[in-house]
Amino acid sequence: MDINKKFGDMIYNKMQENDLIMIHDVHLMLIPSTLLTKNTNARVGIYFHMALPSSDVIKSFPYHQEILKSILLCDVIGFHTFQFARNFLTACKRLFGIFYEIKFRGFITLNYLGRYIIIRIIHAGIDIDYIKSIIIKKEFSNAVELYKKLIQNKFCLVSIDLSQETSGLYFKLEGYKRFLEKFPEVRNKIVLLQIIKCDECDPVNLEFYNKIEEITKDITTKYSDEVIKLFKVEKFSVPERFALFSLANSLFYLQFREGNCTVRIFSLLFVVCK
Amino acid sequence: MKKENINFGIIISENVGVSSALKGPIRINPFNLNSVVYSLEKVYYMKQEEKISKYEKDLTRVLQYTTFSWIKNFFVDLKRTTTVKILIL
Repeated sequence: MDINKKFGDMIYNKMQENDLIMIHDVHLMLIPSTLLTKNTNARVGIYFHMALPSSDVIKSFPYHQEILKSILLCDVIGFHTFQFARNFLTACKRLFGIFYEIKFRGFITLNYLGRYIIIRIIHAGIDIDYIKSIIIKKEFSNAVELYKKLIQNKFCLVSIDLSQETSGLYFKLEGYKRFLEKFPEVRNKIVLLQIIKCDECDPVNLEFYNKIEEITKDITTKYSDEVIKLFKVEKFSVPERFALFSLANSLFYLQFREGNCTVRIFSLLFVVCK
Repeated sequence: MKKENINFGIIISENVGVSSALKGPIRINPFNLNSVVYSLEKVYYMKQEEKISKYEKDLTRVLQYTTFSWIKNFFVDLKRTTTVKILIL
């Protein structure tokens, strides 16, 4: 709340007339309420990069009323997919009794205190020129050669995950294990490159990483070391990531719940890198 | 890029937002281990023609929705709301 207030004050001080303000993501949800109490004419839009939970989960937040009221002060609310938008709309319906209407040209609008709020479903894309500029770099070609040695003409599955419970690594590795069990002819021709972003300082992250390491040890002792390769990194640079995507045969993501900010952009990159 | 060299296949959990944005990926439920195995098999034995068709479908979509168009559309909407506001008042 304090941080949001500070942000709001900063924006208010720098703001000029006819400025359009765009707020990103859930951390700054309370800015509209601090900003619009000072200047009611400001045009503010908020965009959610994360997955929004269903209305029951929203209800269990402490201060959910304040948060939702703050969001409803915006003029435009953007979501990645209709699923998240629907969760928000249901929450509004249940908690405040605001029903949405569908207007001309397919706009979804909410009428709150006599204002019309547009719900916009639109997903963030990728910057193609930026990717082109990175592919020319020397680091990219170096990384490509490094990973080529690792892969050696095999069928390559790639995944980059955070070291968290929600990244679905248990199920991924267990499924992979069963796959190897069922198809013995594949074992020499396939490799899974699993990159885990792990913060050394965080004990929860480390604990989870150790569990995953045990499972991979099971797999490697049962079959061979070539089948799965686990990397623990603190930071994974952009050229390296692109190099890996450009070489991979398949991307393998199994998060339980994830917004689009990381995963979708990764996979979109994967598409263009080819 | 030569068509014979295209390697393409994405396995993704259905809970992830991107799964509804692209057509190419194989969507599975991560809690269902059988479907994980099945999808791996599907990706491994996928025919080249199928890969190319999926790739081309997704590429057109990715080229269409860039970061620039995302921001532009958002701000177009923001401007539009204020005009509506004035009309009401």
